[in-house]
Amino acid sequence: MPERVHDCVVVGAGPAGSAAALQMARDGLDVVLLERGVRPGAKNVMSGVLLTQKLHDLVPDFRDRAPLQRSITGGYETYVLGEAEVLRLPGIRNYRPDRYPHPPFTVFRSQFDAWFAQEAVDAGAEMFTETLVEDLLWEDGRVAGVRTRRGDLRARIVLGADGVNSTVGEKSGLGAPPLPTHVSLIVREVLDLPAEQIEERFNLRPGEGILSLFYGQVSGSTGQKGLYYSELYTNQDSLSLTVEVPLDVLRACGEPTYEVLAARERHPYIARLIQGATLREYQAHLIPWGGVADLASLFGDGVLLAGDAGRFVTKEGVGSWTAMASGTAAARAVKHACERGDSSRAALAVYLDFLDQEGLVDTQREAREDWSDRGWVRKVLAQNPERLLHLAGRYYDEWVLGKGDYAHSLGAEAYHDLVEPLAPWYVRWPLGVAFRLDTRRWRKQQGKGG
Amino acid sequence: MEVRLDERLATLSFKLDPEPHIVIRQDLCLACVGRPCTVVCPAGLYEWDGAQIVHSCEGCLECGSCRVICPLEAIEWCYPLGGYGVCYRWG
Repeated sequence: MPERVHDCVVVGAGPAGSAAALQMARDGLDVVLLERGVRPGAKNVMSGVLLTQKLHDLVPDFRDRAPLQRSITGGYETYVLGEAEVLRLPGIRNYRPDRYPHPPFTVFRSQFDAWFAQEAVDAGAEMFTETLVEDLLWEDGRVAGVRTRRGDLRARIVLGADGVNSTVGEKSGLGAPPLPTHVSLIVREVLDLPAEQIEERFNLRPGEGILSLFYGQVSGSTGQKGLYYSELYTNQDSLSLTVEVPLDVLRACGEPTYEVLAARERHPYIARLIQGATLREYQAHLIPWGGVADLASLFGDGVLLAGDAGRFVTKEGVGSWTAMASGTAAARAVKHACERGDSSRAALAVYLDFLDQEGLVDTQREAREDWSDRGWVRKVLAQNPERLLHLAGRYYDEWVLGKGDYAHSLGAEAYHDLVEPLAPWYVRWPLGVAFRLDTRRWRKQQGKGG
Repeated sequence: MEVRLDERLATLSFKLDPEPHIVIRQDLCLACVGRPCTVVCPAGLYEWDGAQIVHSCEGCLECGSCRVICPLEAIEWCYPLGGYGVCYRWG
């Protein structure tokens, strides 16, 4: 009996792999989906919320069927954390549901990924769980299948959707292990809290949720400071609290993420929000920066990369819809190649066109640019969180207490701390003169007052 | 609420792979400066006892941070066999 050759083997049943398998099965291709966990999602951690525009394209009635937690209808809130203070940055809360017909949702990936993979199976894909791909099969210099402990699978095209530590990417030579500057480690804890208490505490209706983002500087054992992000968001009857930090910052700072997570729990602002909650589960995951250059290519002879394996993450660090969109684009490229009976690198280059149609070429470029300058606003936050807190605290002190033993006016201090180090000369010079005059005026006023 | 790391790890279910999925080349660790694996591992599985890195695969969250951060490529890292390793119920 001749060995069966599938049209495509998809490695990894996350959002990218399942979206690809779903699309291919609908297009009538012979597709196999492989997952190393006991079920899809068993190895995954959701950091943040699931953006659903792309999911709506693939499964229009997902809101009735998918295992969702709470809809994040009102936007998100951003805070800067100090030792015992918190600065809330301007933001908007929106209560018009028509403005967001497909709002983001909090989900548990262990439930969501299992459901999404089942959608692909129902559409006709074959799925094998508890199956780890250990190596690729090669034939005439091209990828011809995958090797697992349960046997070899031959395919015209192998789609690597196996995450940031991509076996397919590294074995095919398209990618290398990521650099510490290109990945962030996220640790997360899920905290049990009854639904009514969540709704009361966060001012929510049943089914509504919130997402809060915290910037906090950490002084490590090495004496260096590093910026660690945190998120707090609501599930149906639990909260998720995360700590996220680029690996190079973590190494330089020397403060383990679980210590920072414990410190965040103790912060007076967060402690009040999670009071009475009990630990349900602790998790960790690595997430890549989007579009960075540790991949040689997204496609080769008989092989494609999608999702985190292809570093599809927006500059905001969102990887769920980009995973689904890149999986869909990969499925179209596979169909295109199978129709022509050609799975060479040249034939698979059409992947780039399909990625462009999904808008991913732009998001990847933006993410790459954002990585190289790490964003202006983020730079201000990253370099000066304690100065921001000082300025906000001083504003409040002067307003409430009328205190005034400072050398410069508030405006001048803000200029020196935040604008001068980053702005170009044609912004610096006029503003510099203006704030010098402002300080003179302010000193005179202080003299009169005192 | 004050939770220790071992209590955090106790919330998870593991099925230990009989073949260790992480192998460390201890001869390289002797020359390592800083030993960043001891800092980055979110399960605190790497410890320097003065002569070698003490490591166990039990409790590994399979994030891959140790492999990325190791400056000497002394960590041979792969995923545990299918069905083994950590299993998140609320991931």
